[in-house]
This record gives sequence, C-alpha cells and structure tokens, in this order.
Amino acid sequence: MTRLALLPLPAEAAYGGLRLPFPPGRAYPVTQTPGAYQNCAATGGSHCIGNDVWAYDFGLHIGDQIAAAHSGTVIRYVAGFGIGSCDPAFRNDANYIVLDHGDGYSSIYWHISYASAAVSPGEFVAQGHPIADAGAAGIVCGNPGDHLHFAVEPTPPDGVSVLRSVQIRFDEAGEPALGSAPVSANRPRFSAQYAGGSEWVVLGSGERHPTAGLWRNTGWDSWSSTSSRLGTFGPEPKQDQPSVLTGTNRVAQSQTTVRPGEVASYPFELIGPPAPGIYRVYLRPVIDGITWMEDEGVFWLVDRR
Amino acid sequence: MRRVGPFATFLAAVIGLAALGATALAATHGPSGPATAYVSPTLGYSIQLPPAWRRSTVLSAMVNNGNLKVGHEVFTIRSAPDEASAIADPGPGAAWSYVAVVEQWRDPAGWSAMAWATDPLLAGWAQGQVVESATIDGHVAAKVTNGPRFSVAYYVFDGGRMFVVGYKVDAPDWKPSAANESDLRAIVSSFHITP
Repeated sequence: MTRLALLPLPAEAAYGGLRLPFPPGRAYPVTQTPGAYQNCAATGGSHCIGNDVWAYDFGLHIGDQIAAAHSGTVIRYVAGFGIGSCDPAFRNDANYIVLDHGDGYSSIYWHISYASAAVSPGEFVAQGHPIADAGAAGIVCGNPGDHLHFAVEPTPPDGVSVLRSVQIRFDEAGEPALGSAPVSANRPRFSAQYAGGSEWVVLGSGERHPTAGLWRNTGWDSWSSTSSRLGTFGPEPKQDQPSVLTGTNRVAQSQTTVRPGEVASYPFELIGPPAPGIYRVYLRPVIDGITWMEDEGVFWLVDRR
Repeated sequence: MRRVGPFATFLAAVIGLAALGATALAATHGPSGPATAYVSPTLGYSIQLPPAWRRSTVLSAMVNNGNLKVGHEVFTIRSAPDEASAIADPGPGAAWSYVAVVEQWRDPAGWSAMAWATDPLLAGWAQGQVVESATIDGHVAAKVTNGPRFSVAYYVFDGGRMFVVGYKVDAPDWKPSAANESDLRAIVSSFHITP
C-alpha cells in the first residue's frame, strides 16, 4: 500500500531550500495542494494518486514565466508538444523539465508551453533562473487547463521517468493552502550581497592604499566584467559623482565572469586628498546599463592627517 | 492533526479500491499462442502482437499536436477493465507503463531520423540517453535508449513522415504482472511500414 506515504510528515521533515517557482514579487493561486491536504474521498484530485501526491498546482497562465525553485542541472527536457487535454491519451505528450539539485532530489516542472524552454539540456541553472513559460501540454483538465504542476522527487536514475514526489515546503510560503496566492521571494536576475573589503585607513597627502570590495552574486544571472561595477553613491560623494578618494565614479570587476553564488572582487586604490579631514566613498554594485543592485550603505573611510 | 481526519477517510476508501484493483490486475495474464497482426490503416504500418496484447482505444489518439504530430497508437497487455482501473488509480502514468507505442509525425523539412532523434525540441532529451544508428523494417533508423519519453525508441523517416516506434518500461513500480520486456521488444521489432 504505497498510499501510506500520504500521511503528512512533520513540517521539519519536508524538503526545503525551495522558493516559489515564479519570479519575485509575483503571486499565483494554489489551485491544487498535495493529496495529504485534500479531502481526497470527496475531491478525487489528481494529487490524491500515483507519484503526484506531494505536488502543487499553481494558477499560472499560458506564457507566464516559470522560475527555478532550486538550483540544478537540466536532466530531462521535453518541450515539443502544443496542446493538452484531460484525456489520458495525452500522458506521454507532456512538456516538462527536470532539474537535478545535486543532493539526491530533483524538481519537476510540468505542462510548459511549446518551444518555450529557457534552459538547455545539461545546463546548470541558479535558483530563480527562468525555466520556461507555463502552458497546457500533457494531461490538463479545464479549458485551456493551463497551470504549473510542480513537485520534488528523488532524482530518477537514467531510464526511469518519474518517481514518487516528496513533501516540500517553500522558504517564503511554507506549505501554501488551497486558494492562497503566496508572493514569490525567488531570486531576481541581478542581486548582490556585500561580502567584505571595507576599510578605515589613515593616509597622507597623495599616499596610495590598495584595497578591494567583495560582493557575492546572489541573483540567477552571471556578472560580466564588461558591465559589472561598483558605482559611487550617496551620501558621499553622490550617485555617479567622482570620488576624491578614487578619482572616478566606477570600479571594475576583476574577474571576467562571476557566476551565481560566487564572489566578485573590485580592486581599487584609495588616494589621500591634499587637505586633512575625514573622507568617505560610498560604493554600490551596479550592472551598468541595466540596474543598480542592493544598497547596503557600504563605504571606505580615509582619515587624512 | 487537523489533516489526519479526512485522510483517514480517504485511506479507508483507497484500501478498498486497491483490493478491487488487485483482482483486475490478476486478470491480465494472457494465454500463450501465435502473434496476431495489427494493421493501422490510419498511420500506415503493421505490427505483430503477442497473445493477450491489444491496441488501447483509450490511450491511442489521432491529434495534430505541436503542428507536426499526426497521432499515436498504444499497445498494452492490460485488459480494458484493468486499464481503466489503472487510469483511475494510481493514474494514467500506470496505464502507460509497459506499453508499446507507434507515433507518426509530419516531417515536411525532410529531417533525417538521426537529426530528428537528436533534436531536443523534436524528440526531447534525457541525461544518459544513448542515440545510435540502427535498422528497422529495412529502413535506416535512429535508436534512442533511455530517452525522455520512451525506454527504447526507433525513429524512422519515410517520405515526408517520421515514425517513432518504441516502448516504455520507465515506471517499473506499475508493471502489469503479465507484461515483459521481451514481448515489447518483439512488438517493436515487428514494425513494418505498409504501402
């Protein structure tokens, strides 16, 4: 009796580290919960049976972007079907993508739109990375029946399609209830977190001091040395104004590419100004031409004596 | 604890259903005997079905899916009642376990079998899949093992159309007791394009 596994596990036993599988700030209704949280005898929902007992359905519509709930490597990829139906004949015509988390579990995203995959076979993608557009391919009931069916399962070995899903919880929403519309706090494309480097130094006039700012890439896209910078920011000197401590308004990233999770280094020199005093340069990470990233009020201070 | 009440009711119901399903499953053991030919007038091929195997009217469909797919026919050893029971519980995935499938797609661009089989959009992709050249029914084919949709599938180009002939044993938990992979291999290898 495989059904016994439907018994809810304690919350702390649920698989975690997941964010809601759509872009940050967006909210979609939960249209079906795991079978364990349904009155299955009355509803007979598709999550009451088979491998899908711990799956969630979210009310995404055709064309809505799906985001990776967890980082992982694409291990299964089907995106060539155009339509779906409640008819069981469509079972083998479902578009879906599976991401292997690398910890023995994988996430599965069902019913994506034809040719909408934003990932490639074998590609590693960060949490929050676009997966595909939602759609209605495979067994879907309703008209058009579009939604995202999301589940986590033990990573299937080669040659096995899907395994029994496991209980999950989302970092920002726990185990959301039917009809609720939790707001995603998934990773944005560009996001940074200060990782070190700020200093308080005493310098003479014209004296130089090499230093470097460190920021971790907490978004889902990589940073390139062609556009990743530290930019001057307020209150001192002001946004985009040259600093008397550096002579510029930008500091370049030293590495060619910084992938999600990696730390970027921005080396520069502090130069003692001619006049004595206390000077600061506030720096904020920016992808030039696209967006400023988080402002954590990070500054370097020079005591010019 | 709030969740246990309705679940207990549900569990009692499914235990009863499972008992009924077990009876139906036992009925899938078929007799031995010679294979019988199945000829598809719609898709233009024939295959040989071992005893007890049949074309599933429930799982077969002629549908223009994704603009290129013409349709598919599914062959199962499950009886019709057992198939219906499997679809209801544990679900369609169980009914699709241990089946042979013949699909036909339009191939107006004249893709070769190998080009089609290795294109992720047309054929899908799975980590660990093996793609190799093969021959089936005297035609040059591409054979994909452990692919995303079939355990074994042959891609066969024939005059503006692509046949996909394969079988699925990728959900071993739901194997019908009478099914075996050798029957599925025999069905697939008997594939013949009819004039």
